[in-house]
Amino acid sequence: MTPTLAPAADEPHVAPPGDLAIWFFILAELLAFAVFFAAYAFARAKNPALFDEMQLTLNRDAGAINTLLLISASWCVARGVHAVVANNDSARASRWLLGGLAGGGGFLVVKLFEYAHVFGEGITLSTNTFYMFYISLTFFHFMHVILGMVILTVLWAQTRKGVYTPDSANGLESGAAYWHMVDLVWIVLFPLVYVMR
Amino acid sequence: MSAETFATRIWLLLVGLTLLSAALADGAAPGLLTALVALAVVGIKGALVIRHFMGLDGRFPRLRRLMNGYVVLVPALLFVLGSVLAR
Repeated sequence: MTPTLAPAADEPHVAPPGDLAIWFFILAELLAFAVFFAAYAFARAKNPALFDEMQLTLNRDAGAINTLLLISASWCVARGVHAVVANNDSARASRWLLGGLAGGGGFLVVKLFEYAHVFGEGITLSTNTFYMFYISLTFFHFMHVILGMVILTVLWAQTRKGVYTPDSANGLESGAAYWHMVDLVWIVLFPLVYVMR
Repeated sequence: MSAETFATRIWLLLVGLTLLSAALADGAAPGLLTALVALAVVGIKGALVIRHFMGLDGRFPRLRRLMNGYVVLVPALLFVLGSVLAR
């Protein structure tokens, strides 16, 4: 069997990790982003030349670095959950969650540098359709990263207190699932806005 | 192999796929092949995160299919939509 950080398949626990409500919330968030992505695709289809030209003005290295930061943060968070659920090791989990927070913080710093450069060039929401979507779509995601970091901070504080145990890790798993959703959205957003032409 | 080691290998695979995406963004000529590779990378990365980090394994087939469908179908439909409408 392929090893995984998830509990073994023959365990009687069959509910998805975390609270069921968080999965409805995650699906609703993904739907909201899908609508945003569809609006971007429609706008791009109307003016592909503008979008291709403007896409080349983006800092693709910053986009790639941010992808690496978010997937690394996701890995840290998954390891943190595993430390509690499989090993009942809250101290270790808090260190992994701190790693996740560092990844999220790094993402925000890189994104702020990107925004500073864009706004420094005099670009605003009304510069053109591409930048209207670029700024609003990435800022919408940026706000989700901030919310995810608030959640991770709470989880980190709770693991430091040893609140979660293998039998009582619903809150930890729910918060982690939300963070992974933020990562998933960026996995789609990065190629859509920065790569595909 | 321990679950921790396996997760680390998954993370390294995700890093490799991200670097491939970045190389595509910088070097590859725009076109159908580049777009298909980019779409495949999105689908694989998304499925890996859903399966191994979110913990949606075979015990949750419907939720996993729904999530996998999102990372595979949404980018693919957007690409097709964009290509068709742009003509």
